[in-house]
Amino acid sequence: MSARTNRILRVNLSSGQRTVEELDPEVAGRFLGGRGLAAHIVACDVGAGADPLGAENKVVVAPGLLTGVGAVGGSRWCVAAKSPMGGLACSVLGGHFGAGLRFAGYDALIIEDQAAEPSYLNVRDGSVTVAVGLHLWGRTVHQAEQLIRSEAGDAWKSSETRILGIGPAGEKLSAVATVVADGYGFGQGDGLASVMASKKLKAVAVRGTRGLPVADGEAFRNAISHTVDRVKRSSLVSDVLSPLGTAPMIEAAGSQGTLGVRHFQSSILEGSAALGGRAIAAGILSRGLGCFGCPIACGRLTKIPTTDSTAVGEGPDHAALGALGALCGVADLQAVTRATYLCAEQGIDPVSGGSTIACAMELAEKGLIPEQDLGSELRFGDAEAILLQLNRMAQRRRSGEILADGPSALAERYGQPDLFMGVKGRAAAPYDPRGDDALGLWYATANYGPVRVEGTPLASRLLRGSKDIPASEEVVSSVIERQDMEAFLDSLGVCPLAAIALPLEDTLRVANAATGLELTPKSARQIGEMVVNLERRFNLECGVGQEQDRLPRRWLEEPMPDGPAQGRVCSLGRMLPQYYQMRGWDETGVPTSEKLSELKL
Amino acid sequence: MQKIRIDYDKCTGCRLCEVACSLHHVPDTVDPQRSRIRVFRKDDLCFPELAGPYTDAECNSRNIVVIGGREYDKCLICRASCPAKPIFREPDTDIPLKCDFCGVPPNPSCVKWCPSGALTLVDV
Repeated sequence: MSARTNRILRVNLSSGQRTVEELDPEVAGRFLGGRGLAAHIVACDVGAGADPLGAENKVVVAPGLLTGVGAVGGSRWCVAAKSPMGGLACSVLGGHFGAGLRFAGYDALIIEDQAAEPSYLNVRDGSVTVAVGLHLWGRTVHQAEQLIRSEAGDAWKSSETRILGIGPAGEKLSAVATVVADGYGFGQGDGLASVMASKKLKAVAVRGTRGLPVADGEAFRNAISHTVDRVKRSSLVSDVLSPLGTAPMIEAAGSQGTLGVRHFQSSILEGSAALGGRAIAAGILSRGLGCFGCPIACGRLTKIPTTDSTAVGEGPDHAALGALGALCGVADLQAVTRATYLCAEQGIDPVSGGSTIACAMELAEKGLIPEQDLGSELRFGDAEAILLQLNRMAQRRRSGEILADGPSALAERYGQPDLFMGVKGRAAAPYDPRGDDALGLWYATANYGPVRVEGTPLASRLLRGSKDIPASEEVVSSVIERQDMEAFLDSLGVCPLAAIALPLEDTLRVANAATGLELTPKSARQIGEMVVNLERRFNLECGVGQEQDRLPRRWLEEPMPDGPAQGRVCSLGRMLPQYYQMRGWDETGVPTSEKLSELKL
Repeated sequence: MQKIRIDYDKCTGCRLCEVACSLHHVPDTVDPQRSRIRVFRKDDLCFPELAGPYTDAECNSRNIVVIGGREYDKCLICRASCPAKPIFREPDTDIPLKCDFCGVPPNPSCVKWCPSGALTLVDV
């Protein structure tokens, strides 16, 4: 199958042994790449009983099938492992790292065991070394990147080097930590950074100089030309995503009553226009940034003044604007941007970090947390306090020692488990499901937790500015369909935002021309469904199942106090049994043996 | 006469130009190393560069140029296919690469696919 390298790199950090294995064509055909392939490898190679922070866990990195060939939005890649938060950790990112791994000649990277000392993995095509990383440990993400890049010995080779790493927060095994790629692409808050830290793996650096074959060059070029034109003519792209980035999702959420404000105690944030796409474009935007091969370029390279110069960084994207802004009651763009940059340097997930701080703010507001535990005032709207706490969390100093363990532990510690606004131990993205039943069902059932919303029905409604809420009987089936399609796209390597702008047929045409496959909308859906069930089965083996398919009490029982969704709660209780049934699972949420054999699992 | 105009402020670093170029010149392959246009990325810099003349020896001296108040290593912005740089030559044979406008009359693939307008074909 073209577009592939058909090679898997397996590295043992303890013995230093590197082997290149053939990617079984049957596996490749079934799982494609990316999320599907990574989940399959983790499920096969890592026992459900393995200690996530032990030597038996493995970090698997898999670029999507199309990642690297230049398909529109075809930049995505997955990094997965067994999660310390339970079940499968599966972060999907964009940027250029995934393409870099492909150009180095690998369809997947499996990192096993634990290094004796801080190390980083240096992949230069066929030359792979477990390199000394002592000088990197304790450094910020950017400092570590600079050091690694300077070892490339040449400005261009340095520019071509892509890096996936952890920051000080990850090194300290903090629950709020995440992986950071290319200096600014955040993974999700699912414990992967801790897994890397337990392996004493500071970073993976890749520089690839090989090419990728495509099955039918002529058809492929035509298909890409067509999709590039299509995207350029799409008003969603030219009027929204390209000029304004993903911030419009937050603005639209604000006007539709689905924005999480002050730890989901409200859906209205005064002055929220200051966090909007136009405010970013006018105030801090340096240029749009594109992931590999993506004409949309919804990334934002931004600049803000510091005390003595200028700081440059990426974002804040919609998730950071929501979690470090709205969720904490802050509508100050400069402050949210500084907080986002801090998260990137320290390797803190903005959603987990923001959610933890917002939880602490609510606890403080209600007098449920002693002031000496926080060390200082922490009130909604206090941007400086957010920066202070993020710094402490990164280093696990003082109140950071408590907060760095994340919002679930925080709520539990002060006897308020209902105040953990998340699912399966992972903090939820800053969108309130009382304004959108489908979102609530998604949050409760997504195998990887409530951490990503770009593939949800809500996301496409927010970006298209549509106000139609689907009829309640369609909610469950649309969630299932979209979850399956997201799993397919994550395996194909195509960004869900690109998929909102582009008809599926166009993406499949590109995919088929590149790979020689004959994917159809139906087979695409089947692949996605299979990946979802595979992940579900692994989660169940790890003890993550029906008990964890739930939502915090606030969303189920406290009517939304204000905004367009005033008075509403999320009706998960009605939807969940339908969801299980429509997925072909039994009433306890376990895939039936018929369903598994239908999916050949 | 036509030229490819590069607007550095508009480049998003997506590298579709590298994909376009390599697909045009190398059958059925996507290989940025063989692309006659490469995008340099560092901090806030997105710098598309077109492959230019071949030289068999690097310069005897190094320069820093100041453009718009910022300093740039001249080697970085130099278009030459040069032994001192790892780009603009075929990886296996070291044969130099040079932009040929994708034919006569000029029909550059990179310009066609550049989504941001950073690359345009202009009359001069």
